Amino acid sequence: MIKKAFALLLVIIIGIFLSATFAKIPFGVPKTVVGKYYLDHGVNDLGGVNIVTSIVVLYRGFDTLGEVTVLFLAATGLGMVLAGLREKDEKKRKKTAPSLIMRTETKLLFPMIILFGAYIFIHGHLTPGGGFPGGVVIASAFLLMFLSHEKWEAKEKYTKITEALAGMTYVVIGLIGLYVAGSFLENFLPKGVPGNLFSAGIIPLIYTAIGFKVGSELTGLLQNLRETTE
Amino acid sequence: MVAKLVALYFLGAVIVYILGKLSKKLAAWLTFLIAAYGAYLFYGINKAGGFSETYRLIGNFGFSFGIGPLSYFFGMMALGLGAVFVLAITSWDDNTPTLMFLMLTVLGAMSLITLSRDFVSFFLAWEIMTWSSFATLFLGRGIERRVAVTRYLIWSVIGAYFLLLAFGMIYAKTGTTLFTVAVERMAAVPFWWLFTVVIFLVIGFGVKAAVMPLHTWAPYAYPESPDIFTPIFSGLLSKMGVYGFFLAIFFFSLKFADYGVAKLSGVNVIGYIIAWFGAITAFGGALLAVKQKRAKKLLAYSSVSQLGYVIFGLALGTSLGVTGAIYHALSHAVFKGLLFLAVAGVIMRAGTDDLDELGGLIFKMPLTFIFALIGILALAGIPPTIGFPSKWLLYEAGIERHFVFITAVIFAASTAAFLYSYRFLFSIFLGQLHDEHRDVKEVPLTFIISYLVLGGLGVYWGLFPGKVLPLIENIALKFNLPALKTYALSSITTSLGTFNATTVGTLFGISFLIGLIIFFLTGKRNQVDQLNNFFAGEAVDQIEMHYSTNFYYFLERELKPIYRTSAETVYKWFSDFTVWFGDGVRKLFAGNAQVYLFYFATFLALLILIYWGF
Amino acid sequence: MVSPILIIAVSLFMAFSVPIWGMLFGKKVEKFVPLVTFAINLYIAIVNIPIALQHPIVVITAGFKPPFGINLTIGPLGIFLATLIQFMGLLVAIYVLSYKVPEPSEKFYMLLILAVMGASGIVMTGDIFNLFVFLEITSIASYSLAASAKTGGSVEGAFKYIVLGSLGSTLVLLGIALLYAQLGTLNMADIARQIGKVDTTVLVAASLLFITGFAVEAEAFPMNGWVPDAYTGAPFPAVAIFAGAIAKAGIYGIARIFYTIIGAPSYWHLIMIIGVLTLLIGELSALLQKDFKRLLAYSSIGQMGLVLVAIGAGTLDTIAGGLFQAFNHAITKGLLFLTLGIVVAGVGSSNLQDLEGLGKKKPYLGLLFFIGILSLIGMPPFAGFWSKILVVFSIIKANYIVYAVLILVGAAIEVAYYVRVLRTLYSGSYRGPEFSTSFLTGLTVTVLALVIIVVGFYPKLVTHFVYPAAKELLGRGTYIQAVLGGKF
Repeated sequence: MIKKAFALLLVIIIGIFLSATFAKIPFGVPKTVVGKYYLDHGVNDLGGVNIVTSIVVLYRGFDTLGEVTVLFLAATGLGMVLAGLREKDEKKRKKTAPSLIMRTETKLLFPMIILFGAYIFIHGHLTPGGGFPGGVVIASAFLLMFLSHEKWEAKEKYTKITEALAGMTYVVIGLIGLYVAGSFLENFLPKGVPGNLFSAGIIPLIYTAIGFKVGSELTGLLQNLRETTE
Repeated sequence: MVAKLVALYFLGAVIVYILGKLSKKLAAWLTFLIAAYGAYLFYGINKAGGFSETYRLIGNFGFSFGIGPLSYFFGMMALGLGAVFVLAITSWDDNTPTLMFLMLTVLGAMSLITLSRDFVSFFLAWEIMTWSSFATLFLGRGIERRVAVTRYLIWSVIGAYFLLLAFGMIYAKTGTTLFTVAVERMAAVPFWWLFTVVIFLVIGFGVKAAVMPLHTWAPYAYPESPDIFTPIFSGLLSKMGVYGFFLAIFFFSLKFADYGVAKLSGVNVIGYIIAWFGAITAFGGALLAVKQKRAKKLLAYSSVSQLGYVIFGLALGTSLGVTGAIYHALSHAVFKGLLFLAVAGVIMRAGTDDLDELGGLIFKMPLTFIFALIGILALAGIPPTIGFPSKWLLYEAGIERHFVFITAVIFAASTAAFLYSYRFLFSIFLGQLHDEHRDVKEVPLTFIISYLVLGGLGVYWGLFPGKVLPLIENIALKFNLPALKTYALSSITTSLGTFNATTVGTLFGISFLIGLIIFFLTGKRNQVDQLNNFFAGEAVDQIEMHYSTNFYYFLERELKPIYRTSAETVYKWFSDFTVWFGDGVRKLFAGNAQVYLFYFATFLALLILIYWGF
Repeated sequence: MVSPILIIAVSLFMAFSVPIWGMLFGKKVEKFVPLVTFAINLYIAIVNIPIALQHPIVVITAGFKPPFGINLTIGPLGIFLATLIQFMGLLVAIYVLSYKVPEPSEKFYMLLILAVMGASGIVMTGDIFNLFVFLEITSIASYSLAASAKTGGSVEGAFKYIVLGSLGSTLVLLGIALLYAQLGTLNMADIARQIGKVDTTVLVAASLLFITGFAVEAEAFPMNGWVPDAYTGAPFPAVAIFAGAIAKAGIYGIARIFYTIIGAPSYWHLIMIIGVLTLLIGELSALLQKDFKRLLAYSSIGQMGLVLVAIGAGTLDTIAGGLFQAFNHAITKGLLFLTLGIVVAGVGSSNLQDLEGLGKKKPYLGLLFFIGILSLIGMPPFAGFWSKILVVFSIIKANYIVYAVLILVGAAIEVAYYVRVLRTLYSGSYRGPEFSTSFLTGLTVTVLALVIIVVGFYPKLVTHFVYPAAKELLGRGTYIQAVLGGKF
């Protein structure tokens, strides 16, 4: 009881303090120099119509590379810890088998979901979304297949290769920028006309790489989880 | 110069180690040669009229070295006597390459300590000396290794940290690490600051010199060290503590007088109190030595006791006191080294230093006996050995200032010294020879040579104090101490009287001769075999009548209450408390994730409460 | 000039590529990837040393100058730590050539490379959000490494680490958000320049959040509950990286934020207090430990506390001393952990009782432990002596004598338990199984011991770096000018 009261007290203290802090920050007042610059110059600098994408991939592309790595680490860590914990108990699996409707339908939907995901990341510089959502959508397609077909597996070999190659591609693009244009992850492809598919320099390339990476990563992750639970 | 010494001792140590893996004998002789050459080099420094060198190794700290009368005296004592001690290692049975490596390292460190003129190099050499002597504790016979190892390192480190604090304070106040410059700039420090620094230094050096109550490591570390190393350990390393003590009292605290510290008969109060510590050490150490059953431990307590005399003299700060103290430091190094070396020989031959199990070795090891006797005579302060002038000067120092009580304690300590000296000699050499020791041989030749040198010095410097006193006088003059009394080659004159060594020595010799003549002229003596004894008809094939066990039972019984009080109980309480506290603290880390989150949140909340005052 | 950003790029590339090499040339090749990576990185770092010491290297990315783009700012502090981190990584990489790592090994190597890369990124970046990203990389890689042994203890330790670490990262993010909300920029130099415009309460909030957040990674009390369990459960090469590289990055975070970015001396005292608490609590906890690995973990906590006290004291000498101490700690703890790893691989237990007498049976390993322990206690002629003297003298000079006394109390306690370790190693007789030391693992620990000895004889090798690094921390203006140009 005392513990709970004490915990409550702590939370109250910290909460009050943080509220007071936030109160000091005016809401809705434009004050960021950097943000403003991005808004004003984003399209001109980079050619992509989706400002968010431009920020994510170019202005702060280094961070994005880091985030991709973080996701990679999470998946790898999970794989590391779960490896060898496979418990394939055949009897348990027979609980609820997916129905015929589900099995047929997912086989039909699978390529379309993948196509949709690909669309998202290919058009990242034009429409909302990009590599990360696109990759997740792709992974969800695989998830659907996992849920409806027990024996179906995504070959680990392929997910690993895709993941690795995609990651390496991202880094290579950055390096090309370093040697061709002067700094890491600098844009070295023509900007083109904003609004066209082939515009915004390296953004589509990077997003494609990210899309593949995230997709294969999450698929592999789901695969790992699948083999150890149930 | 210093580079030469460093290379000689430290590189030499490595070479000796490697050579020792191939041939221990060769390595041992090389060790001796290095030690001897080092002593020779050191001797040469003084001849060349002094030197001063500086090396820059790190940041703002430069290493500075130089030589003066004090450094020369202590350095020569350490290296010269050290070489003599090392000679015996050439015939030491349990020699190992590691031991030789460590011995040379220790000697090298001592040479650097005495030559150092700045805090950093001093501390560096001091720490090298600490860990190399510490390492030797692992090479001993292992009887009390656990306690010895733990206490020695912890005490040494605590002492070293007090030194570090003091040095740091001086550096912070004066902006320099050079001795002489620091003292100049300490001209206008507040008294409490000076007092703190001096106390820290006294504690730090007191640990090394094993003054009570900082001594509890010595009775374990000295016996536990390899027998051949103990002469160096007890005889020389402790003198580094004395050296530092001297610096602390006379170099860094010349100002006590300026601050109007009260004086008692011309001695400042602080010094008087420290002198009392010395006196109590002398007496307490002697008492504890009396009840020891192992020769090495007896000598260890004796060392603690003898250094009490030295501290007493130094702390008094009068010319007699200081002279006596330094003289006694030299005496102790000589005779304690000789005694420990003798014990090392006994252990090597007879296998034990347990007093209850030894006896009658005079028959088998007569030479060792003679020199042990000389050592005992010196310890007891009997002329014409070196022990007498030094002790005499110290008594005079106390008497001169009318310090009745403290001098009485010192006297009592000497009486107790007789007790344990006799026990030592009797239990090992006199009385009945045990069966298992019937085949014991005399010590090897190199031991005998070492004995000869040490014993010779012990008598020589006792007969001719005039050889030692000029050196001490130089020291005193350098540190602005009052002029010494008059002395000649073999006599000393103080305000209280004269000691003429030649007269006394001659008297001694004549009495001995008379005794010898009477011994040979009188009566019929029958040589009786040890086992030819009358036991009321019972056949005797083994002697169990060496009444060495419980030698001083009556004394111990009477002194029981005194024996019970001990600094060790305080320390034990302290370490128990730390351990208990540590155990409690450790439990902080025995929680689960939730507990740690609690810590986190509590801390954050606490910080918020503190800092939100803005 | 070789751009330091290649350290990041190469690490990433190699980390991603590990499975590819495995598929092309067989699994045996995988263990060489970290070695190649760190060798290249170390080379890049070393090549940049002379330049960075002269004038901070500013590397921009994506072609946009700060504050509109992310940049790396590598001054003396950055290059010193980056080189140290790569060096530790390289040694561990050599070590794992011979040491069995948990399965699946390819993932272990990837995690290893990325953990080190994360730490390198933290010390090299000039953008505060980038700092956060690299902090995340480091943390997550560490969590995974901690759990990789897959034993109960390993997972428990990793769990505690995750919980505390995530909370810490979140708080850091919150602090960053607060600063961004007030100033509108994420560039460290830019924030430093405009810090005066931040409202006091917000600044207090951000500072407190940063301290508690980074304290997790820096192993400071009371946010270090994860350390004993995580260190004990993780495989030895991982622990060597934790102690040698990652904890240093945590300290860097605190130092950078409170000296360069916020520059508020009022918090330095807080850092000192945290440091002293960490030191004393760490050392006291180690006093009774029966398990050598856990003992070393507590000892690590204690040393981090010492570094924090020194860095928090705020003068040139104390900061330099603290950095020197951090360097020594990385090398020495690396030596001790890796040597213990060799021992445990052979003996099967890190309990001190099982190691009794090992020093006599295996004199070389015993000597390595002896050197490491002596250096930690601060004995010459080893590296630890110089850092200890420098720290104590400079702290007294900075008028913090009470702290100096407490530091020495902590050090005395440290001696107490290390003497027990030495005693155990060198007494009695060894009753465990026979084992041998492979060449490569032996080589790694020998190199570390040699570094300790060489720096012990020639401390200028390190002071050459730490003094300019300390100057950099104290010189906000110079930093800002280097990145943003113009007058400050």
